[in-house]
Amino acid sequence: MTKNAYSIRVLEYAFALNCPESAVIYGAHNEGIRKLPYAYVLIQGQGHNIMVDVGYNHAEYGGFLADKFGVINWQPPHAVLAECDLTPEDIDVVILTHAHFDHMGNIQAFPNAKFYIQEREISNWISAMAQPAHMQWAMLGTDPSDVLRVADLARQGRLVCLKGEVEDLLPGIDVHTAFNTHTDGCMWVKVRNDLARDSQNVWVLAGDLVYSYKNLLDDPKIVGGEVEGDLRLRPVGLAMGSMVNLIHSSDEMLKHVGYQIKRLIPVHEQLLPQVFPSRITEAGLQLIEVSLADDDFSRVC
Amino acid sequence: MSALTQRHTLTNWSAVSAAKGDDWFCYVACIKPTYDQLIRLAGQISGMLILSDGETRLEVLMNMPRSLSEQAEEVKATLMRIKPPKLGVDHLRHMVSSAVKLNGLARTLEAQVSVGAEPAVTCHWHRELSEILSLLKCASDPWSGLQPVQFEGCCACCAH
Repeated sequence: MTKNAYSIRVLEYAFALNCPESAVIYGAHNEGIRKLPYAYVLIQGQGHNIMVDVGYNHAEYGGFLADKFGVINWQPPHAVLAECDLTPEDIDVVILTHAHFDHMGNIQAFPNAKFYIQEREISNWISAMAQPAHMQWAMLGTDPSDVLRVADLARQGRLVCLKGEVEDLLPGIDVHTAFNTHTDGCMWVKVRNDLARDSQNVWVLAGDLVYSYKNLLDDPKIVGGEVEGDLRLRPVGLAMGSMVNLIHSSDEMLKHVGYQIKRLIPVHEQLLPQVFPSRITEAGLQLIEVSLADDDFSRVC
Repeated sequence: MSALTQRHTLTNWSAVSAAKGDDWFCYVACIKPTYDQLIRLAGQISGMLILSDGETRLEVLMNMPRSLSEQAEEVKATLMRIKPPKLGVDHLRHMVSSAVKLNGLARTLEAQVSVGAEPAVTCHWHRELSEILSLLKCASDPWSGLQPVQFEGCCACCAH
């Protein structure tokens, strides 16, 4: 019987040291700053190397982001993936949770991957960009060049536009929608790691629907690798859609993991290394091992 | 030789702008809304090329507050009214060139809602769009406010 079909690792590729708490938690004004990791997720198993989001390309925006927003220590995918003995060419599937630059801004680095995105995310881009100048807020963080690169993927037959939720996109991996939340066509990923339909071994990769444990718990504490605190859902600091929908999507994700907070992975959470086995790479970035497949070996020990 | 004709990267162009004076910054302030509009138009046309489902494409087109070609005409007309300083002449010429190309693409796209039926044509559109976006990226000067992506206040951006 399969215990863990997939290894799941969160790979930090850059970080900002001075992110306002209010950017992470809606309404948390004047509550200081925190480190904000930028990361993507690598899922390996069943003959696949899967990425959930692909980060951004420093060559495109790096200097400006570093100067203006304090984003530092960006490392390219070939350096980050090398920590797991992979190259970007080895990635065969990419699931794009949404279209913001720090999640979808480096698709050109993965030449052999097939990409999945919600069609609604794309049609919403177009509608948002068609609005007059004074209504362009919804286009924050989206690069039209990325849109063109996605168009190029479509031309090459490497893009699949999904219309809603898909069970078993790959064996044991489902994608769920959270429309009209952080962005209009957001999705999150559920890994049923024992491959069972009624799985007792579920991990949820939240994309940007949850940035931090503080979006889920009041005063979260990490005790012996467990995330503890009173359940209290609060939306992330940025929603192109409805804050109420964000709360509902958080609750929905939690239902899928039986409200075990540890099994919901917020990739921008700086506390992840305290919850899961991890190490700091030579480049000074976190490599976090959420789950280890039965036939894999640890990259952090 | 002017900065733009050297196929500058974003950073190089910005470095050039550091040496510019008030004329340049007045010009940037004047051209920024149009630059942003061009970027958005290129983004919309790119997006239309992604949608594989003809019905969705048509629905998106029908729901636009202004058609792609109307937007392109408006941008072109605005650019024609701008009087650049000497330093901005070449910059403006490239902006106009982008607008003309986008206008052509917009008209073709609207006339052929069934995008992608002819792979050779689609390929040509991709190339054209790619050139336009490269041109607009070259014409960017993020430190002065001309940039393809609006980062202010967006997710994971900090230290405002």
